[in-house]
Amino acid sequence: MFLKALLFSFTAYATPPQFTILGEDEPAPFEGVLFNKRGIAELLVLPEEYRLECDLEVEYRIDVQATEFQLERQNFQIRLDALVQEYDLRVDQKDIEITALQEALLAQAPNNKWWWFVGGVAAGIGVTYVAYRGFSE
Amino acid sequence: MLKIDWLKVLGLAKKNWKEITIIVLLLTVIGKMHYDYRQLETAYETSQESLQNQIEGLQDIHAEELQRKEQALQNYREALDLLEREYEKERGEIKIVVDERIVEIETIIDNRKQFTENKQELADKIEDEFGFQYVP
Repeated sequence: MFLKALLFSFTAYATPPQFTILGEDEPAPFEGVLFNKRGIAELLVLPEEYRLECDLEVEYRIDVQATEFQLERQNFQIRLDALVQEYDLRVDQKDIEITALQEALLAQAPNNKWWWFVGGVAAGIGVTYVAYRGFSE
Repeated sequence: MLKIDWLKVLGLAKKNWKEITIIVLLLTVIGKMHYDYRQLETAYETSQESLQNQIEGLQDIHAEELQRKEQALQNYREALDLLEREYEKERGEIKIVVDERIVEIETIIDNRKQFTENKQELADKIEDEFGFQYVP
């Protein structure tokens, strides 16, 4: 920590990166650009800095996308669970409803249906006969 | 005490048997209709109760779904915040690494006298890094 603080203080007061442009016949073999020590150091570090930042950016973007994908996946899972629950609920309620209606139907249906059949036929004959007598008089 | 003369009643019934038959049949039909109506009403109540249970169940499921989605969204936001903080922290670390590296290169240039006696070392570095050609 102390070393880093020292480093920062050192870099803060270091000579800033500088450059100058040299023309022909100035003490240089050709016209061009001259960098001071700080300038060339920063230039030499630049590719590594870009690599590190690129790696970090890629990692960050991938992590963000993974988090978004995780949310999307969770939402789908929640929706699926809800739909399964809804389906189970509807099926259960329909089963209960069917059972209740079946019980009502069974309560209505007579157990001795042959007696009812015979009684119905006899009542029909009787009513027909009575109607015949009634209308013929 | 009311005394019923059953003979008179029987005579009256024989005399008006058609009307009595019609009334009995009418009452039978009405009774049957009423019974069927009660059965239909029971079936309707059963369906209504089932639908009511379904509505209540669906409301519960929907509320639970919303709560779980809200929780998932909250987790997502927290995860994003954490990622953002780590990202900023690592950016700061990269800045420190870069600054350290700059100072290191400057120190090497000074120590190795790469601007005066060992120019080739610095030239090699520049050539390796950028592919520029060194012209002494």
